[in-house]
Amino acid sequence: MSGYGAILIYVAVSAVLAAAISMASEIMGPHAPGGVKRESYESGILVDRPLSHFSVRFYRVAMLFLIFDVSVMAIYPWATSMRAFHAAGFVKALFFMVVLAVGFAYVWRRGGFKWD
Amino acid sequence: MILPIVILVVKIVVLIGILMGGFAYTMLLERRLLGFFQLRLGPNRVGPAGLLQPVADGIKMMNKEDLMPTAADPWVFRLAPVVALTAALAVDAVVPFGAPIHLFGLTISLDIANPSVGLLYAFAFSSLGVYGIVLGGWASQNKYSLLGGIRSSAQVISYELAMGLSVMGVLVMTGTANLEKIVQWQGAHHIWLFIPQIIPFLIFFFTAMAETNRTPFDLPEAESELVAGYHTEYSGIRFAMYFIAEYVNMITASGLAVTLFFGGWLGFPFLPPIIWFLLKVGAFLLLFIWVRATLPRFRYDHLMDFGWKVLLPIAFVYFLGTAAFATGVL
Amino acid sequence: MVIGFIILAILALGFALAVVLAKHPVHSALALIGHVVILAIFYLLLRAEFLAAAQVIVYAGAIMVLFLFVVTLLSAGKEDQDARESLPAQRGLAAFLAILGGALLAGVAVRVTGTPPRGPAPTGYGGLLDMGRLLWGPDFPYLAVVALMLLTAALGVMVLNRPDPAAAAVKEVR
Repeated sequence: MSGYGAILIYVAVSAVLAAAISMASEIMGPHAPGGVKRESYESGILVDRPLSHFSVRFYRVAMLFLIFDVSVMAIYPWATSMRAFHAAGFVKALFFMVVLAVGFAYVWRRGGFKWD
Repeated sequence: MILPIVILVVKIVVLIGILMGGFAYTMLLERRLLGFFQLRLGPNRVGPAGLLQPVADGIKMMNKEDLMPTAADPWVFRLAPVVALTAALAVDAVVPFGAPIHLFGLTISLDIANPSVGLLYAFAFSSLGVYGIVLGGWASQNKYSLLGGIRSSAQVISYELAMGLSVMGVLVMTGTANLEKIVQWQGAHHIWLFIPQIIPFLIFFFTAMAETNRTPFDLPEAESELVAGYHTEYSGIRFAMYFIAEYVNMITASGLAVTLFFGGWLGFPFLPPIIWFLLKVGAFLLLFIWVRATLPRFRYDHLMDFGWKVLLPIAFVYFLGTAAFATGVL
Repeated sequence: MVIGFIILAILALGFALAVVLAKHPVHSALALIGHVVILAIFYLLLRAEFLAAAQVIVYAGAIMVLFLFVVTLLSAGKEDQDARESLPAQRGLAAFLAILGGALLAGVAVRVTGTPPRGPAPTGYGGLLDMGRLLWGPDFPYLAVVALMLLTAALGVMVLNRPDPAAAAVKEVR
């Protein structure tokens, strides 16, 4: 348990260090407001709003990732404890794998991974 | 009671020192090597052979004016680089840099901690790292930044699955996710895991390149189309922090690849274990740089296809094959 | 241990409140990420190591990325902020229902007190090996059902993402 305490302290130290570094320019750098330097960089073409809508492909990829990520999380314990199961356990686990593969093949076939 | 705290403090200071120093000199190495690859010299003016260049760069970056677009979301804009760097540093807590050493009758392992789910811990923090890029891209309120941020997360999530499946074979063979025990298993069985798991190792390496946004997977900052991607609006030290995070991520990915597939700190006894570990990590960093100098950038649809339709199925099938062998079906 | 729990509980409540009170949806999503990570630390306190890692990887790494996609892209313009509420009484009603729900949960938690486990947890408790032996051993039927649910979800994603035939026809004409 103390291992996680050590990790927590390390992460906290990293976060404080990162925050301290990130303020360096704001504190040490010059402050010379004016001109157009605080405008968004837009290659000279000014638009009033950056982006209003986006391709649905990004949402689709995120949802598919979510589905298969949950499956992969379930596989980690199996991979680690596999030696306890022998051949019978493998055959049983194949059910899970086949269902997963069917889902993957279906999405592939329906063009779920297509990006054009 | 006092001694463990002192040891922990020393470990934290040394680890952060190694990572920040590693960042500075990997960057210098990359700039010099890219120079040689392109038949020029690279930065060699500051100090002997340019060795003080990172110091000069750091001082310069800190003394730049910090600019933030008026349209930006000020707090998220400030938070994003901090998230990126913190997540990058945090992953390394579980990577063992050397064999446990014995000092004053204590056994000290050369990592901050090695929990039994060490590998998953590393994955958990690296999955938090993507927020640094997405939030930076969003907070800038600039179309190039937003595109870079969204691209980055779509790319990372497309490759994360293949990365997860590529390490399954290691878990099957060693029966643990504790990184120290994985190295000890390789020592006890006199085999480095890349030999039985060569294809998963290659998949791990490709996905690690994609997750660190390195060429040929540097679509999020593709300067020929997105200006500079998610850090277009950043300046001064915040701009530099994204680079620190990228290089620390590179070191971490190399460290994980060495630990999982190349025997971690193991090596011939004429050098101490930690030197072996650092040498192997250095070899991987050279490989990262070499790949950057050699390969052009992926096209975006090719990149997504490669992740979902090539790496993921191959990793899955190889894992099932490993499982069949381990359980005695084959 | 108790002090750690109290600090974490305050942090978790703070993030949860921030989710509701934040003016901008992206800030709400950020607070939700913070909340999810704090929950993972709670799991660690209960020695559920695998669950903690899974919580961060699945919730913070996958679900929240999906949330952020939707929120950052839909709210790229800032004009949504001052949209009028169409239901005038909804805030009061929501607060009332939230307090009611919280009171119910607290009541259940106070009344039902199981016997706390004695002694330290067995070695390997909550780790990958133990989870694997349970999940892929006697508890496999649940996992099989989960697999079928995920298959259904994949089907659903593809059906929902199918281009509307009418819209596709319009595009063709253009």
